[in-house]
Amino acid sequence: MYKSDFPIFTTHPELVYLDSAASAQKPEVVIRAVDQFYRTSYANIHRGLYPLSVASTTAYEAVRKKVAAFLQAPSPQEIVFTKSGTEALNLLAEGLCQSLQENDEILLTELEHHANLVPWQQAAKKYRLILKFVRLTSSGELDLLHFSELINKRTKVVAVSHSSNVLGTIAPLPHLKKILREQGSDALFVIDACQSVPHFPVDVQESGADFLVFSGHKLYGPSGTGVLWGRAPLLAALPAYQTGGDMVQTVSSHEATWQEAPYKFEAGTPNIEGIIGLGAAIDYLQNIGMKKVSEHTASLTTMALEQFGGVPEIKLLSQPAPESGIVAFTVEGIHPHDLAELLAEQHVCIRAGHHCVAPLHAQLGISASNRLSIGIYNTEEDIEKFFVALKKSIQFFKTGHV
Amino acid sequence: MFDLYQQQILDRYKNPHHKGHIETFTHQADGANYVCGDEIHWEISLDEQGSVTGLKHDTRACAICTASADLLADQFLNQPAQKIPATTAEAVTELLGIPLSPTRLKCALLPLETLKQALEEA
Repeated sequence: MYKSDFPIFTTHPELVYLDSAASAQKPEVVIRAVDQFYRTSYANIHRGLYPLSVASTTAYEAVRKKVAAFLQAPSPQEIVFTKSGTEALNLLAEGLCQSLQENDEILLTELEHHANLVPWQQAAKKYRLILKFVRLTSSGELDLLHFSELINKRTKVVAVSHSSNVLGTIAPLPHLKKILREQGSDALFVIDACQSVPHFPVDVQESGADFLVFSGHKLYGPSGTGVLWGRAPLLAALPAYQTGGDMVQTVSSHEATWQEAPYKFEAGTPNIEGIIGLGAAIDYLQNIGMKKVSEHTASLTTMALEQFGGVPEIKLLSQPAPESGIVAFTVEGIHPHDLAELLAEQHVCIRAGHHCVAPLHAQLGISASNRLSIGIYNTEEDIEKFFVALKKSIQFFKTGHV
Repeated sequence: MFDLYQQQILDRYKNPHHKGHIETFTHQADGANYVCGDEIHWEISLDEQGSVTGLKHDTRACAICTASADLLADQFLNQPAQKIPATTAEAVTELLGIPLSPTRLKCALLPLETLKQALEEA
């Protein structure tokens, strides 16, 4: 139904793309928005006094408003543009950790993507902080009892994936926030929403989050775009991450002062056309309606889960939430890399490896897995073709022929 | 279809000839390709003349990597150990007898690289 909105499938009509959790394909409206912006309105932002620069600045700032509305954020001034979700998390890890005391604690979970693990891990080393990890239950959910046990007065940051990019399980954010409140914790609540924002409505106020991060390329927007949302007083208190042009207010040879948030976090010329494209991607999703997007994802994921149940060689890594659009699995007798290759020969694209979550795989006792992930362009026919290709691959590895 | 997975590769993957451990070995090394999840462990025993008298791999890897390890063990067992550092990437590709993309080349070369490392570290 939505597939025809994406030119890649006109170029490759045979393509069954089931790797949207790694990066999503781009709709025509995004491609056209970037193209049109270059052709009609491009100039640097926040600088020129000529009409083209004013037009460029207006278009860029309009996306800030769109993102704020998309996340139900109270103000566009709470939206910081970054080059990726990873950069947003690095900004937070460095900015928040430098003011902590030695032996203060950062609480993560055992399923974090490397982007929400390594920046905290490195900041913890640098500032002598302690990292702790919330355990998972056997079905891949966060162990809420363990979460509650780990909270103490020294817990200063809690950073959690909203939707796991491997397990497809969804963290109950308001519930986690409630536990924090009940324990009287003043820990800052950071959400990695890279995998949730593309699939279902995310309301930053309802989530109880203090900061939330997502990446543009997983949201059908251009790569090189990311978003950091933070509560206004917290952004105001957060130190600048990179310095240089545009983020400064006054500069002398030996001193400089910063602009207010969000501008103090946007040093240098940003990915202007990328942000314009991100705005078009958000418009595209809003026109469909995030509720409908979520139903689409859930219906295809449910269909895939049902069909996986009929393949005895399959072992699922978790019981994913249907609206996550993610199913990770292994196939008995076939290494994940081989399966991805066999499927690729049948025009089916899925991920193989540890999906940037090596510690979780180590804990599951496997070195790698396969992952199928759904996008708005996927159809029931895609899921059917995936299972035909999967069964053919299993048959081939068993018998040496198809 | 599935040209990469010739009978030889599949056979060696499913029933490798040289998988296992050696009771007393003189050299060992672990290698991993973190992107795709290939893991290999080599155990080697050399005699005083520098000949390979025992060679076993313990792989948790894809078919290409496992077959490469197993075919290399065929090549090096009961041969002078100098043969190992002298073996090139091209020789491995030839041994496997299949065209390899840059990603799959990494799978194919992991066993040889790890084996070379085992000898260097001794």
